[in-house]
Amino acid sequence: MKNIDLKNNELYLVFFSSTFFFFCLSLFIIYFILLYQKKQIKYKQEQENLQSAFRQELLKAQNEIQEQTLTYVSREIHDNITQVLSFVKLNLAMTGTLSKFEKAQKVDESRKLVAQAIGDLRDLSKSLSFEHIVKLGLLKTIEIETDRINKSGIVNVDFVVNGNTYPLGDQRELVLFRIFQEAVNNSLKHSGANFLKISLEYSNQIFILTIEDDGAGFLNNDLQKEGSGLKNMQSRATLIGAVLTINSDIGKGCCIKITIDPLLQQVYANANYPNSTR
Amino acid sequence: MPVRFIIYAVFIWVIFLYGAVNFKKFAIPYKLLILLLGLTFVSELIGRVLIVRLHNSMPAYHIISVIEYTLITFIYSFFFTGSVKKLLLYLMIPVISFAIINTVFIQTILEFPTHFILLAQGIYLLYALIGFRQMLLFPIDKPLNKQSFFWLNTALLFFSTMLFLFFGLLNYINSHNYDVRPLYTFSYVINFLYYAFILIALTANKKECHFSQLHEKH
Repeated sequence: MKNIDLKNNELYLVFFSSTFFFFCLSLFIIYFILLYQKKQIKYKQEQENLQSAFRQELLKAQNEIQEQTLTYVSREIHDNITQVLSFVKLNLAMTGTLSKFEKAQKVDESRKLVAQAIGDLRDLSKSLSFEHIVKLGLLKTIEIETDRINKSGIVNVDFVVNGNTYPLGDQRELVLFRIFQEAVNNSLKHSGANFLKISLEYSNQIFILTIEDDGAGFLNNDLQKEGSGLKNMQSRATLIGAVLTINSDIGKGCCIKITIDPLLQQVYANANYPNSTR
Repeated sequence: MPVRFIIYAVFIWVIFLYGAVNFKKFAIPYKLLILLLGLTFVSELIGRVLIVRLHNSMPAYHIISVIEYTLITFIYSFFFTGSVKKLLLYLMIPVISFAIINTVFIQTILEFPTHFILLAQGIYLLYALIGFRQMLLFPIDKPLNKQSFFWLNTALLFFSTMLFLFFGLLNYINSHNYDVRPLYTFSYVINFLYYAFILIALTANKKECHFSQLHEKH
């Protein structure tokens, strides 16, 4: 009888202690699952916020590009095409009193000027709207932009491309182009530079866009004091998973470098990119 | 040979076979886990042979416990990064040294290496808890039941805590001269559940398409 009691005791001991352990363990797992679900919801919300911020930033970049294009178009029409056409008008108005030979000369001159205006208008039609960036890609768009700056004669631009090119995705290229545009604008407006070097480096691991000028430069410490332009560029770069570094010193120009891992994918960015995780 | 042992061995063999057949579809840590399953199966068989021939299967435990610790540490080193990963790997040196010292001087080859096994289980428990913490720090948009890392952590947490309970009860029962047979049945139940969790982890990982690599990066 005593033996049976002992056996029962053993069984109870094993049963109760293991039940207690199982209970504690199950409690822990349930607590973990609940906590994880809470974290998961928070994570999803963060992702959605990032996605929304990204969309907003993209829209802002598109608007800015459009605005810049319109400014450029209006300036070109005012400063160039209108002037040329006014000159043609004057030329043609003067032909009434001229001899036949002189008339022919003036008409020929006017024809050439009209041809030039047509050419300029054609160039304007290729202006850099965001649809063009999507259609042409970052490389071609930057090339067109550098050609335009070179033609304007404000500065000399050296454009270099290294490595085998590849697409970075429409949205990322659009943001990269806007950063590029802002950096070039800063150089042209504030630095007083005579020379600009723009380089694109494509390698398997990394893509680097460098914008370098020989302008007045500024102290790196002054970056915080600078207008929101540079901060804007940095936050935009972060949004597409790029790193933007600014190196500058007084009298030594400025070098802006944007590096990006081409394989890095953000869930919220770019569903059109071939390697996208979405 | 007891029937429950045969069922237990067949269960490990089936899980190992499942892993071996789909070996290429798993991420590296789970490939190591499959290797560990194979080695566990072999050591269990060797243990049985040793019982028949020498009436003592302890040499097999001395060897498999060190192999198990090494492989589980390597498995977790794939999930952790930075200082935790370094600590994990550097800790292997003193822990394995202790295992050798224990086998040579303290609990010799014919004794059950409880000192080392308890130490290793404590370490596994820590791995599982750090793993759970990491999951909480870096949540992903995927149901928990489809995450192999969750099941792996659960398996280790379950097994190591239950083993502590087992040893505690064993000590108590031995000191009171009670019958230990129910406890051994209990240990088989623990083992079956542990390998069931491992099987779920493997199945989840197979479906994840090397999701673990993304997790590591994340």
